[in-house]
Amino acid sequence: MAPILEVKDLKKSFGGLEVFSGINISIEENQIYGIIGTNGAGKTTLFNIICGVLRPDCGSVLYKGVDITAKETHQIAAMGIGRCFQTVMPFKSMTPYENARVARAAAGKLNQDRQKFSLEEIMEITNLQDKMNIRTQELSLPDKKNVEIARALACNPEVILFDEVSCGLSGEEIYSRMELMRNLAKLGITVVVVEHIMLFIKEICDQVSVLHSGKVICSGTPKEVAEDEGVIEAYLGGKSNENFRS
Amino acid sequence: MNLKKWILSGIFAFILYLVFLSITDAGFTANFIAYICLFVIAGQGWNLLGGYIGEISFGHAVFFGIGAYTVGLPVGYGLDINLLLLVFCGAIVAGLFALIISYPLLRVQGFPFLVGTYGLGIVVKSIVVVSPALFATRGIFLKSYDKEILYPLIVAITIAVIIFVKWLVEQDIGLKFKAVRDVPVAARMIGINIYKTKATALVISAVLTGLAGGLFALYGSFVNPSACFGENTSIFILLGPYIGGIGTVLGSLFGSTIVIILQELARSLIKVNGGHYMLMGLLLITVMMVSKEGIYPGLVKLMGKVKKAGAKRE
Repeated sequence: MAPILEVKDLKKSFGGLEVFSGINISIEENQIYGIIGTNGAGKTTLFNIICGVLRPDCGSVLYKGVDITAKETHQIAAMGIGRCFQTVMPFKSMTPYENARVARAAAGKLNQDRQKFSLEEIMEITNLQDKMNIRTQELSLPDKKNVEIARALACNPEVILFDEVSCGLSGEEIYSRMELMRNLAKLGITVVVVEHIMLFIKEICDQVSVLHSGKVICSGTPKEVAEDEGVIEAYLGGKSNENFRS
Repeated sequence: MNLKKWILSGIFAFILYLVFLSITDAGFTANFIAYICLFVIAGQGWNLLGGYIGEISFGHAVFFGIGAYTVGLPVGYGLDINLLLLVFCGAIVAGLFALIISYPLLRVQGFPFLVGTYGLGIVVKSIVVVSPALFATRGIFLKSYDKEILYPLIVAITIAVIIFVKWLVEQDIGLKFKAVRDVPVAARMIGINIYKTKATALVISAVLTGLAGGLFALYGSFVNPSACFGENTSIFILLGPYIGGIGTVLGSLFGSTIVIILQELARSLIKVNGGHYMLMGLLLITVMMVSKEGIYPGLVKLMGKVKKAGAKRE
């Protein structure tokens, strides 16, 4: 199967700090793809480059075979790549329904042929049907995160990038996010997840890439990655892999 | 309140105004209401950019002046053109000017934008002041427009503008304005073109402010640089929405009304030249200390608290 999203020979530096020294990642359609790495490994930078917020020094990002490296963020969104942020950023003056409505108006109209859900269905998928007319700033953190997911879904995306979506959530809430991501993948949306919680990655991801020192040091299934000596060395300094494997 | 209720309220308010005019000899009051309305229209225009997009403009007098001078200049050159037609032309010219300047002006945001608009105001006023072709500081006198038609017309246009703005901010484009103001990064991430959205708001804002300027020319039967392009005009345009509550249609309406009433009240109370500005300053400080969001949002919050307290007691 042809990849839906590809990162090719990507290099990026901030001043003297080299974040990526030529990384390659290939994500197939309908996968749940995990990207892990220690703090500062460049996970969020990678998402920023994919979304057009940052430009790479060299290399390219291909979406369905089309080079989107030089495209503007709003164009990339309209092409079908949605994103949820680590620090939750809903449009707080609007209701959840309006958050989804503005997203559909902005990007969705260009991709009506891709439309999978009505706004009402999106409210149901994200468990916001009872709160859809409350101002978002009055909602709890998990609900605000749901608003972001609803907003991303309203753009009729084929790929959604989740940046540490479990951040600040309780165990139960994390499990409900995992369930939601599985459902999204079943509905034909490719899910790319950046996470710190290994259990999260192991439970839901089909494939995982590990970023370390500007490189992808391992790619494979969660099981393969968990047993990779290079990954264990990077995470735990090679002393033990028991914690990682659990 | 949904849009139908706004329209009905608008019609009711206009009927009430006409009844008031017919049963009273309301010469001064009608004149004063019309004057307030001019700043309500301009305030609603400013609010689209300052309140809904979040870019504070300190130079809206430019659009106000363009509207006024589009009415005044043909008269100054002796052309016999329908003045009302010129008012609407003034709104369009102001919008076109906004479209042209949007490209350099909207490259920056926040404080640099504020400074940029202030600078624009200074430049345009200076050009008008030194240009004999624009009648420089002499200004232009217009023939007096029939007040019995003009005042109700200004009130009707004001009501129409308020309903239009209310309608606009509830449309997809209005939600885009709020999205750009709330979280620009996230707005971009859902496919909103930030520049286009801001430029749209700027142009509509300028059209409304230009409309107010054109009506101002008819109202005063005179245009000159300091009244139309002056810094004070910019300040009074922005003070209304700011004091009333930026980003709210009703707040802007209340704010502009309060500011103009207080301005005139202070003028009648404080005889020292320019002394009324002291009262305006005190008002600003008080509002910002009591409710930094403005009078209307402050009142809404207070009513919410009273309701909650009442519900608890029950």
